[in-house]
Amino acid sequence: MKLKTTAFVGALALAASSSAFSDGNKHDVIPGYQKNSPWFVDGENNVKAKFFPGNRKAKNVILFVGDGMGVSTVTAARILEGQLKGMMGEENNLSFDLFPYTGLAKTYNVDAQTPDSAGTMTAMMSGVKTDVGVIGVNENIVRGDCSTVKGNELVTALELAEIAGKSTGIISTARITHATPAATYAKSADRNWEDVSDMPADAVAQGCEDIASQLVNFEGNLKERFPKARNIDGIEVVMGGGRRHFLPKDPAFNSPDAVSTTEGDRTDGRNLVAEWQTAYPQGSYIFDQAGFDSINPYTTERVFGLFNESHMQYEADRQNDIAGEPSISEMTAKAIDILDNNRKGYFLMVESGRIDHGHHAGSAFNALTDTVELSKAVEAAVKNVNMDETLIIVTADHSHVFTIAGYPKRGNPILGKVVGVGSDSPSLASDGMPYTTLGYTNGLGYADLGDEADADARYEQPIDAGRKDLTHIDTEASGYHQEALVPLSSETHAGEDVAIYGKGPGAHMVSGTNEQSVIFHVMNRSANLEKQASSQMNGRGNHHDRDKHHDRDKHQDRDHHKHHND
Amino acid sequence: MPSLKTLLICLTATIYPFSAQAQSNAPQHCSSEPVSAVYQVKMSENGKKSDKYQVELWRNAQQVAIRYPANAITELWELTVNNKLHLVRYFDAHGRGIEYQPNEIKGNQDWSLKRQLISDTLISQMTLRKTRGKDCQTVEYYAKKSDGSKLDLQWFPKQQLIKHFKVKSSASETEWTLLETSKDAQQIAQEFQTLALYDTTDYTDIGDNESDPFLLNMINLGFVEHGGSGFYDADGHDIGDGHAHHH
Repeated sequence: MKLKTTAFVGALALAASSSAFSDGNKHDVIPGYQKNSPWFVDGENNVKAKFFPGNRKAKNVILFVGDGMGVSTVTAARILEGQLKGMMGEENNLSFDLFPYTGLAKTYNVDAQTPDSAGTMTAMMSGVKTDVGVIGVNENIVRGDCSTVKGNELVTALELAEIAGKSTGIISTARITHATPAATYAKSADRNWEDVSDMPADAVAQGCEDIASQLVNFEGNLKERFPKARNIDGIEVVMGGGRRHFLPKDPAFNSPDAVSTTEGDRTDGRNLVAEWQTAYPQGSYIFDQAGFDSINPYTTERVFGLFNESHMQYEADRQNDIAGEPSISEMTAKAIDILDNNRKGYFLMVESGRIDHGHHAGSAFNALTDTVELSKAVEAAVKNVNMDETLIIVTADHSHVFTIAGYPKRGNPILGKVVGVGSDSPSLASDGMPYTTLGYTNGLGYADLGDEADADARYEQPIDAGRKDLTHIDTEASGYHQEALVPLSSETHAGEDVAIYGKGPGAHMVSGTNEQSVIFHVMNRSANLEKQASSQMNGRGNHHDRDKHHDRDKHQDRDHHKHHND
Repeated sequence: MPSLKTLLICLTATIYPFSAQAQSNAPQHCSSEPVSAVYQVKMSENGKKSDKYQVELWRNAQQVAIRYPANAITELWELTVNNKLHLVRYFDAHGRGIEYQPNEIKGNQDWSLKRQLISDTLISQMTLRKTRGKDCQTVEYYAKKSDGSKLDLQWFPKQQLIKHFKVKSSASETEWTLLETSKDAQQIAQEFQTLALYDTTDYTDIGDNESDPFLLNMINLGFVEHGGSGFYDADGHDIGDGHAHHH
């Protein structure tokens, strides 16, 4: 335990030896250093106090993460969606606004007041908070030091589900090797070790494996760590961006829609797409909208979709993708239809990764339109599953320095200039100029890029922080970038709590103001992930008992529940 | 990776003056790529001379690298399959690059401007005054007057290279002069390979990488941003608009 860990947390460690998870199993699925971590013990005690024996259990778990989707982002997106529907806006609800349970998560990393996605997602997936910038390892790691990984790896909810025999899936609109999705399956001393060319030579020499390789080798690596587990068969659904990290640095391996002369970044000559296809000959590799559309979810056993060389497009800019790519709601619906072919259930993580990027570029438009699309993905999930047996959690990893300010009247366009109550003209600040409701504390600042739908186009423009005369500027245009106070090349994360929304069995456990790591414990407790995994490891589960046949009756049953959920 | 100094020494040793090349080139060497060229740019405003600087142009079939040696910045441009431009801005002194995806490039999308440092469109708007020389050494002399500016271009059409280009207005004068050129395919390939080995980061990702000293510097100082005049150096200093090449 590092000194930076508080005495409060340290005291909790004393109680760790009597962990509620200690059931005398011969083969512990979660290592002692993880279960005895004060973060883990605190989280387990948190949900234990909220859980009652009669509570229903979840068979399926879906975790939605809006990267950078702070409370102000949710509020503004709610209003924008409402106004796009012709409402005043404030009274609108995003799909997850209507979830019955809500809580707050404290997002700080062990070593950072304002966190990053690597540390926060590791906390959500493992029940243990860790340092900024590291993936799937605890705080004893030294960032960038390969030698400190071994012995500090954390077991994740996705891995528990895999060991338990459930189907598993990950979706991200960012690169699938980016911090948030990576924290579900990888262990890395640095979030940026997305492929071997990103790693220092000594880390490679010491045997550390890049994140993309860990994704393709997930099944083998997990079996190596848990040789007694008999039902591990790899991640069934992987969809996102980041093709560059899976292909050799050789133009001969370019995809038809490559945007770089040489698409791949790998300097070890490995073609991980080909390796995946060899390992899973029954699986489908897809890279564009046509490939996605061709997937029959009722007959597809597994799918590997890499739709972009780097991140996928912003939702508002998706139509400009070279070969076309699916939306996050389309990917979510199809993933569920594939994963629910397993009678033992599934674990699915869905990240809307570009909300964060929209904010970093100072574009409320892109951040909010991606949030609205995430809401549609959540809605698609709710309609597509049996909520009696599915826990859905929607949350964010961290917030942004994004504010809703001034005194705009009810129904004032959320992307517009502040127009006060009883007025039809913009309010003026003491400098005599109008100002927008939305703004950023820091970042690149103002830009008027017209009808541009890609927030990142802002990066070709200089920093222009501070006040501007917006009198004749259309601030509701997609290409408008809000003013910022502190000039930085990229707007930053913020440190306030984020919301957790829950629906389904065990969702009430998200209530309260929690350490962010509690999300693992809610999922674990609700779906019995550790116990089921442990049972499989110790011979009390059925051997090789996955039933992934494509059961027409089951789909009819699901359709019944779809109606019920509506 | 060779230092910039090493690179320039190497260039000096292997690139011979264009006039020398002109003596030996056979017609089969007239292809426009691969090629490298070194230009000297002189600028003055209101009759006052400003500093001279050099610009290097490296070109193969798919890529164009434009280097500003004094600032140790190299822009690598690629034309994508859907005719958009992909840019990586390299910082040679750091061995790092910042990548801009095609949708992020909203400036002039004219590939000929990147390949030749002057667009086909502009050449087509100028008047051909005369033609001199043969084969590779054919030089076309163009001129144009508009909006108070006078443009004079000497152009190698076979090699698609500027030989000399002057833009003069009442307030300023910019003059590009070709100093050296090379068609050493191996050396040019090596140059692009050197750039390819630099670590690159999507600009989109820098906000999530505040612990990287290079990127933190960039976040705080914005030294890879286009300023009002062009670039900032690695210490955040405005390096002026002397490198501008938007003819």
